[in-house]
Amino acid sequence: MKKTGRKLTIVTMLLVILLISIVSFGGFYVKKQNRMENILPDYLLGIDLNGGRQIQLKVDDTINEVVYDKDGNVIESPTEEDKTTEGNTVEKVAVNPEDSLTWDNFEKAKRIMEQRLKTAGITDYTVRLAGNGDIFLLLPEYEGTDNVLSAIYTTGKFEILDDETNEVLLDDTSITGASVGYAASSTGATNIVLNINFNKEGKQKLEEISKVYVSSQNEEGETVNKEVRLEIDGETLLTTYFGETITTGQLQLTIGSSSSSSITMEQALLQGSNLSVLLDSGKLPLTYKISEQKYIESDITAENASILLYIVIGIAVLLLVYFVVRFKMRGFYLWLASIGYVALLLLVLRFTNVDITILGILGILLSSVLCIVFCSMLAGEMKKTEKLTQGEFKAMEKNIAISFVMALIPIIILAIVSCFANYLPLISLGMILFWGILILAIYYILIIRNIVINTIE
Amino acid sequence: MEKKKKTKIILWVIIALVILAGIVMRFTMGFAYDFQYQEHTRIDFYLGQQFSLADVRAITNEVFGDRDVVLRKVEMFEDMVAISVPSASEEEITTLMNKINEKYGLDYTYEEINIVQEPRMDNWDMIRPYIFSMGIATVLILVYIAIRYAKLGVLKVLGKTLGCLVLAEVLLLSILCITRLPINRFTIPAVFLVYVVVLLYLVLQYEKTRKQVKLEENKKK
Repeated sequence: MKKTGRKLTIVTMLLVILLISIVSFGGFYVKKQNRMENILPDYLLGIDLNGGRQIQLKVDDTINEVVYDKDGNVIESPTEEDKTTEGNTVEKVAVNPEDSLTWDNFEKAKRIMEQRLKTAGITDYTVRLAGNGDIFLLLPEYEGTDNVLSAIYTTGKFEILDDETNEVLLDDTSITGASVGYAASSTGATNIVLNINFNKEGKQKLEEISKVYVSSQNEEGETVNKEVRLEIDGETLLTTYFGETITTGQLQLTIGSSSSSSITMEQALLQGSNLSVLLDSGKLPLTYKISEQKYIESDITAENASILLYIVIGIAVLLLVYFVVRFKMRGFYLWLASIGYVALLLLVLRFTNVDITILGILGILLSSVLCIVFCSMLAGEMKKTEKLTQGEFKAMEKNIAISFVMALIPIIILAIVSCFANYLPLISLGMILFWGILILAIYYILIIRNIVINTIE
Repeated sequence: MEKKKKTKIILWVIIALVILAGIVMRFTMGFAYDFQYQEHTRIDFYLGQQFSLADVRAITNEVFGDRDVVLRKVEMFEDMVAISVPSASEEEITTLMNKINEKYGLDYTYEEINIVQEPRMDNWDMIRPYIFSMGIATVLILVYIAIRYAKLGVLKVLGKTLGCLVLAEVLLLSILCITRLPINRFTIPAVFLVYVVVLLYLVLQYEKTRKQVKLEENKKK
C-alpha cells in the first residue's frame, strides 16, 4: 500500500476511535421537546453503586386476646362485651410465643428468607440478622420490589382443610416443592397453574382426600359438593372439590386463565410466582412485620466517582507516556486505540443491559488491562525487528495471538462460570469480562490491526 | 546467578514472615472491618428539602470529629439523610439534632429521631455467594492447565498454580490483617484481582516455557 493510503487508513481509524469515545464518554444528544436529551441507555447499577430498599423486619411482638365462651369454644371477632361476659374467659396469646424466640429460629427465618429471595430470582441483596431476631434486608429498587417483599416475610403456613369441619387434612410439612407454569385447558385456553409437590406421606393423603372430596349426587338426585379449603396464613386461597383422584402426588391449582377476565395473565403469573416462592421454601418459624422501609442511596457518591475518574485519567496519562517513550508514534496510536476500546466496551455495556457493580468495575479494569497488555506485547515484538515486513508481521501476530488467547482461556472460563452464578456481583464480573474479551477480539481485527499494520514502513 | 538465588531466598523469607505475622494477627486481633460491616448506628433525619451532603458533613464533622461517618440520601425526593456512625451517645445525637434543627429550621426532639441499630454482616454471608462459582471455575481452569501444559509435568504445573493462587491470596489477607486495612466492599474485588493477575502471569509463563520445550524437541528431531 502507498504511504498516503496507509496514512489515510490510520487517520480514518483514529477518527472512528474519536467518534466512539465522544459518543461513549459524552453521550449522543438529540433534540426532544425543545431540549437536548442523551438517547443512550443509562448504565444499570447494582445495589452497591445505586443503593436500594432498606427494610427492617421485626419479630412480631403482638399479643392477641382469645375469648372462650363458657363451653370453651373460641368466640370469633369478640366484642368488649364478650370479654366481660360472665363465664367467658380471655386468654392472652402472643403471635410469637416466648419459647419460639430462639437464635435457631432467627437463623432459620433468615435462611428461609434468603431461599425465597433466590427462588424469586433476586440476585442482588444483603440480609443481616440482629441479636433480637430483627432482619435487615437490602433489596434492589424496581417495580417488583413490593411484590417480592410480600412473598419474603409472609409466614407461609399452608393448609388444606375440610371446608365444613375445619379439620386440617394436609399441611406444609408434606410439601417438597412448588412451581408455577403454564398448562393448556380442555377448552384450548392457556392456564397459569401452581404445581405443589408432596412427599410420600403427602401423596397418600392427597390421594385419599381426592377420593373423598368430590362432587356427587345424593339419594334425592341433588348434587352435593364435598369441598376442601386451601389456606395460606389463615387466608382462603380457594375452595374446591376434586374432579378425579390424584395419584401423582402433585396438586395442580389454576391461578388464572386466558379465557378469564377477572384476573390478567400477568397478575396470575405474579400471584402464582409468589405462592410458589412461599411454598417452595417452607414456613417461617416466626411471624415478622415490616418495621421500616426506605430507599437509601449508595454511599458511593458522585464525589467518590470523580476521585476514581481522576485516578483513571492519571493512569491513562502515565500509560501515554510509557507507550510514546517506548514505541514512539506507534505507541501513541495504540494508546489511543486502548482508550477507544474502553469507550466501546462502556457503550456496549449500556446497550446490553449488563448490571454494573463494584466487582463489575473490576471487570472493566481487567478488560482494559488485557487490551493494554496485548497492545504492549504486539508493539514490543514489532520493536524487536528493525525493518518488519508485512509477512513477518503476520507470522509474529499469529504467535502473539496464540499465546495471548491461550493465556486468556482461564479468564474466559472464569467469565463464563461467573455468568451462570446467581449472585449479581459475580454475574456482573462475568458478563463484563465476556463482553470485554469478545469486543477485544473484534476491535483488534477491525481497528487495532488496521492501525498497526499501516505503521509498518 | 548466585545473587539471583539469594534474592529469591530473601523474597521467600519475607513472604513467609508476612504470612506468619498475618496468621498471628488473625488469631490475636482478627481482621479490621469497615464499621458498616459491624454493628453500627444509623440516624435518619427528614429535612423536608433538597440538601447538600457537604453541609451535613460539616455538621457531622463538628459532632463526631474524625470518626468514620457515612452519609446517604434517602428516598426518591432526596429530602432525607441517613447518617451512619460506628456508635453514638445520646449526647452526641442530641448535639447533632440541635445543629440539624438550627441549619434546616426544624424542631426535632430526641424521641422523634429515627435511630436504628444496624446489625453486623455475617462474615460467611460475605464470601458464601462466591464459593461455588469460584470453586467450579478454579477446577475447570486447573483441568485446562493440566491438559494444555501436560508436557511441563501435570503435577508440577497443578501444584505450582494452586500453590501460587493460595499463597497470593493468603499474602493479601495477611497484609490486610497486619496493616489493619478494613475489610470492606473493595476486599472481594481485590481478592479477584490477585486471582486473575496471578493466573494470567502463570499461564503466560507456562506458555513461554512450553514454547521453549517445543523448540528443544524440534531441535532434537
